[in-house]
This record gives sequence, C-alpha cells and structure tokens, in this order.
Amino acid sequence: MAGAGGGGGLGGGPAAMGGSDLQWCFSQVKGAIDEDVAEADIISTVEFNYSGDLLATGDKGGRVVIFQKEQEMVSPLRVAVSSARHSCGARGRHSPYVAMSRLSNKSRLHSRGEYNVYSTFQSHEPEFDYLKSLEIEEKINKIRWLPQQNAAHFLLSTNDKTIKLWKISERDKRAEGYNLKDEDGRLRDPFRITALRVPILKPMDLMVEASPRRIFANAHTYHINSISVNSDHETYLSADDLRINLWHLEITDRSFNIVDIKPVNMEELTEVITAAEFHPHQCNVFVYSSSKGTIRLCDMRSSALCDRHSKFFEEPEDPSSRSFFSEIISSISDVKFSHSGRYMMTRDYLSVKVWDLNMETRPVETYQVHEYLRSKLCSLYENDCIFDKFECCWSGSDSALMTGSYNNFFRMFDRSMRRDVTLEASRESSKPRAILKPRKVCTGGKRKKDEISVDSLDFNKKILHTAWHPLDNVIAVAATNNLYIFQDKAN
Amino acid sequence: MEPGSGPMVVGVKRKHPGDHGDPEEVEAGKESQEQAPFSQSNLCQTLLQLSMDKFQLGPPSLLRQVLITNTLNHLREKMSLEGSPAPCQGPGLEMLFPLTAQSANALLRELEELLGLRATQDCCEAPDGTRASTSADGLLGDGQQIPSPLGALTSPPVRAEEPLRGSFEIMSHLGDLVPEDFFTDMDTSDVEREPWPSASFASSSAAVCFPGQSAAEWDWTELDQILEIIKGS
Repeated sequence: MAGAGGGGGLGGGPAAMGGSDLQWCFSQVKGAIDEDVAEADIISTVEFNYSGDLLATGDKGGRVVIFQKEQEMVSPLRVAVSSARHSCGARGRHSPYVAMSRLSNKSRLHSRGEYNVYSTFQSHEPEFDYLKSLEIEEKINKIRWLPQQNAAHFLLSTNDKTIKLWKISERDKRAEGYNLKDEDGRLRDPFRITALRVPILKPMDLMVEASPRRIFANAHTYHINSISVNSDHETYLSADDLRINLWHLEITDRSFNIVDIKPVNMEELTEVITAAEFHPHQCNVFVYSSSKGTIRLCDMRSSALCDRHSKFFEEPEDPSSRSFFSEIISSISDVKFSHSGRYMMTRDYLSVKVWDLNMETRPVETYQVHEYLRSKLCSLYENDCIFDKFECCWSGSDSALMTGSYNNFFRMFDRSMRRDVTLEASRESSKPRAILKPRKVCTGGKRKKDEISVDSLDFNKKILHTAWHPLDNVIAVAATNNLYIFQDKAN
Repeated sequence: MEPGSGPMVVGVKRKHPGDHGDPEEVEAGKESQEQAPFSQSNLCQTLLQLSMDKFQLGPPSLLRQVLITNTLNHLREKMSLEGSPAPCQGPGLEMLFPLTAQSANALLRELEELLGLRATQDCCEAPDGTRASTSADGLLGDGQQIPSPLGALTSPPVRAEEPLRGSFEIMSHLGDLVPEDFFTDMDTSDVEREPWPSASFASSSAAVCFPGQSAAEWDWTELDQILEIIKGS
C-alpha cells in the first residue's frame, strides 16, 4: 500500500454496500482552543463502549471524561451542563470518590449522533512512593469498558501502577421523608420523633454518579501498558513491561502472574512487553507483543504460567532495509484483535500489519503508514519521535483500519478495496458537516499545490489515540488536547 | 573497459592481483574506500554518543532504555566488524574504546557504579519464588540482601558473589529499594583501602570524571564507623 495520501474515501462500513465510497465529515471537536496546551489536558486514551453510545477519554491529568451519544429527540431532563472539556484547560477538581454532573432543565434538540459530556471525574491522582522515592504519574494509560449488564456502566482505568473499576450510574429520584434526618440532611433528635413515616421517592434532575468500586493496586513493578477485559466478563489482564497479571473483577488483593519475561540477570534483558489483549471470544487465549516486533499467542489451558507461547508470530526481516534503527522501528506499539477474532493487527513505527491467527510466518496484509519517514529515522531518533507509540483500531465490520501519524494526520485503510486515505484533524477544517479532504505528503520532486512536504510536517502534532465506533462509521481522534469526532456523510 | 580509459570507477573491473592498473584510478578507489568506512565510523560514533546521552538523560521508560541499549549493542558490533575504531573524536568517546569488547550493558553498569547508582532486586517476588502476588506484600523486598560496598573494604570482596544487576535495574531500582539497600548507592572510590577485584572498574574509574565532587567534601569517618557497627551486627 502506498505510504502517501491516496484516494477519496473508503468502503466497507457496516451500513455501506461493498464497493461504495465513504466520505468522512467533521462532526464535533471537544477541548480548548488555546495555543498553550496544559500538559494535564493532553488526551492519553480514547475508547468507545460496546454499544458505541458512550465515548470515554482519559488525559495526563488523571481525569476521565465520558461523552454520551444523544438521540434525535432529547428528554428535557437529560442535558449536560458542566464539562471539563468545555473549560479552558482548567483542571476541574471533583470529589475523589463521587463526581456528579448536574443536568439542567433546559430542553434542547440535538442533532442525531452528537456526543455530549455525560460524566467527568478524577480517576487517578499523582502519588509519591516515599519508600522508592518515585513519583507515580496520574496519567491514564488505558480505559476499557465492561459489557453492560444493568442500568449502570462500568469501566476500568489504569495509570502506571494502579487499576480502578468505576461505576457510572444515573440517579433521577431522591428519597424524601426520612425519619432520622431533616430535609436539609441534619439529624433529627430521636426524642422528638413521635411518629414514623415511609420515605417516598420523588423525581429530581438527572444526576450521573461515578464511584470507584474496586482498586487493584501493588501488583506491578513496572509501568502498566495494557489492560484487557476477558470475554468471560469476570476476569481481565494487566500487562507491564515484563509481566502480565490475571485478575478477577471481584478480587482486589490477589492477582495471578501468567507471563513473566524478566530474566534472572537483568543484564540479559533485551526485550519487553509492549501490549497485550484477550481474544474477543475465546476466554483462554490472549496475545502480547514485544519490543522486538514479535507477537506471542498464549493459551491459558495449556499451562497456568504462560511463559511458553502457543503461537509465535514474526515476520522475517528484510536484509536490504536493515539499519541501526531497524529494531526500534520494529517494536510493536499496539496489538488489536479483529471483532471476528480471526485476525489481529499490529502497529509498529512505520506500518500496520494484519495477521491471520492461523499463519505465524508472516502477516497477510501490510500497510505503510508513513514510509516517507524511513529516510528521516536518524532525526526522529534524535528528537525521540521514533519512540512514539501509535495505536490502531478496526472498523466495526473489520473491513477497515485506522491509525495515527504526525501533523495531525491519520490514516485509514480499506482492506477490501485496497485503498488508503490520509485525513487531517484540524480546526481549520472543522466546519459542521464539512467533508474532509484527503491530504498528501510530497515525498520528493515538485510539490503540488495541496501537498505538504516531509520537512514541513509538525512532529509535535501527533495522533497517537484513535477509536472506531463498534457499529457505525463514527470515529474519534485525539489530537493533543482536542477530541475530534468524524462521521460518514450518510450518517 | 580498459585501464586508463573512460570515467574512473571503483570496485567494478576485475584486475590481476599483480596489475594495479591506472594509478589515478587506484588512488581514487583507495580514497573512496577510506572515505566510506570513515563516514560510517563517524556515523557510528555519533550515534553511539547520542545513544549514551539518551540512555542516561531520557525519561524513565524501560522500553526506551532497552531499545537504546540494543541499538548500542548493534553499534558496537558494527564498529567491531569494521575493524579498529576510528580516531577519537573527543574525550568522551576516548573512554569508550577500551571497552568496546564489553557489552553495552557492562559499560553502562560500570558507569552507573561510578555515578553512585546501584541496582537492587525486584520487590514483587515472594521469597519462595511463587508467582501469585498480593497487594499487601507488593512493596517489600524478597529478602535478598545486597551487601554494602563498604563491607568490601575490610573483608575479601563479596561483591563478586552478588551479581551486579545491570543498568535495567536502574529503571526500577528506586522502586525496589529496601532499608538494607540504603547504603549501596554510595560511591566509596575515594576512601577505598583495598583494590577492587574488577580491573575494568579501576581503569574506567580513572577515566570518568565526577564533576563537582572531591574527597575533601566527604567526611566518611563517622559514617564508616556506623557502617562497621552495622556490618558487625
């Protein structure tokens, strides 16, 4: 696949017939417009829930903001007012345990598919380990939703050391007529209570509460890079640089180590774990990727300790392209199973690869994200950009892939049509329902009018985190402190 | 193409071992061959120094440090394959050449020792080696004790018995510190009374300058006495 920008659209969304083109339109952008971006406001993870109605973001300040997709006709009681994302970069502080977003009585009609703030809460706080003299960042590394089983929503959020299970629930009724408390909450004198009454429930403005239900701590020596909920909906895994632990959602004081690649002699360490994920359907299978560009698939049925892999995926290196930076650019930054469970996708520095789980020798598809950077690796090594960890994601139907790049560019690949497109998340093209124009990077020779040269790319504007709606053609792209939402034109 | 005719090329025409052909052509070939390895060696040295700086000054990320170390190893192998190292570019690189035979990890370990950074054991492993981790014990050491470096002053060196953990332990060394390790990161090179067992350590310690520090600034007497008491107990 070509590394530079390509054709006009993609096909293969769940609502589109095979072969029809898809055009992406700007829908919304969340976040401050300030030139000076506060470090805490930088988005560090984006995740849709299973239905796609909720979109969660985590940032470096340890906050989680959840957006909800509104329906066409909106109940007058369900309009969000407060929003950390609408403020000018201020770190909104909420109660560390319960955060409520009060909704107003205003009635508004929202266009279909618009995401508005549903809940905001401080998930993690900065900590200092006095014994180790180390600061533990509050940055949210990953958010993973749990399948919804009742009216409440649950998600896991993690920083470098601690994983938390949050419950997000709605409250639209309030009990009144307590026997022991006054209406303002003060305790009544028991001696003055002469009669008993039954409290009654009265409607109130809808409130969304976020409360921590479980805290899974002190199980990781190294920095957590991945969490993944199992298909059994009871367990999940957490992975750091050298170990992977298996947890039960109900048990916080114990986890089982299932992978440990830490050598006895740390001098022999040459490889670390970079990402891990459970299979979407087989609760006994998970994969983890490494800094050497390998993927190991493990089956928990074969052994309690999965140090030995069941399958080993690695593509032979091309000797002609060998350089000093070959190992660095081969390091896998993200691994994702397809929704079907038959394939998995890996992202290294320059490419995205699709693997068939039944073939370990080489990927079945390879897509070049920004091949024009291969000649710039030395500079990228010098400015540390070569260590950037880009994520990747599948479309709902597994027919398309998406990943980020520099200059606020993101790339989409249509697997069936074998086409790719480069789009940009920018304020300049953020007009309502404006169709995104494909972008092209000039790799040499004469630059055309709409093209941008490689040397003009802004490497500070990087899109590391993207998410694709599980059912619709709606995508969320995190560009530094802004969250862009794009939809297909038909949507 | 006959010798002496046409444009000068390098390494294309087969020649009789006794026939050196056009002297100009030979000189041009020799010059470009000298330039190519020199440029490559120059690049290696630049990358080597850059990688060293990145390793020591970069953010605390084990992934990053592993990748940089592997790059250093690759550079070292490349320079070894190319033969003798290129002329020194500066005082910083001069220190590295005697150590090209060692792994980058050993080099960095020695640098870390000199800088007073010592690695410690992992803190999450149970003493009996079981893999189930508990939250309550997560921050405590596993019982292994790293002897104080001052203990080597009056007794046969015991440091050799404890494997040096290497540079990657630095990433979590602070996370793995236990009370017994408080004294392990002290540089006692100025107050050594017995020679260290490692010759490379001695040679590298002479080459590494520790800016801003002098023996006059350290008063080890009282501390030495305290450590003697602890060692004795």
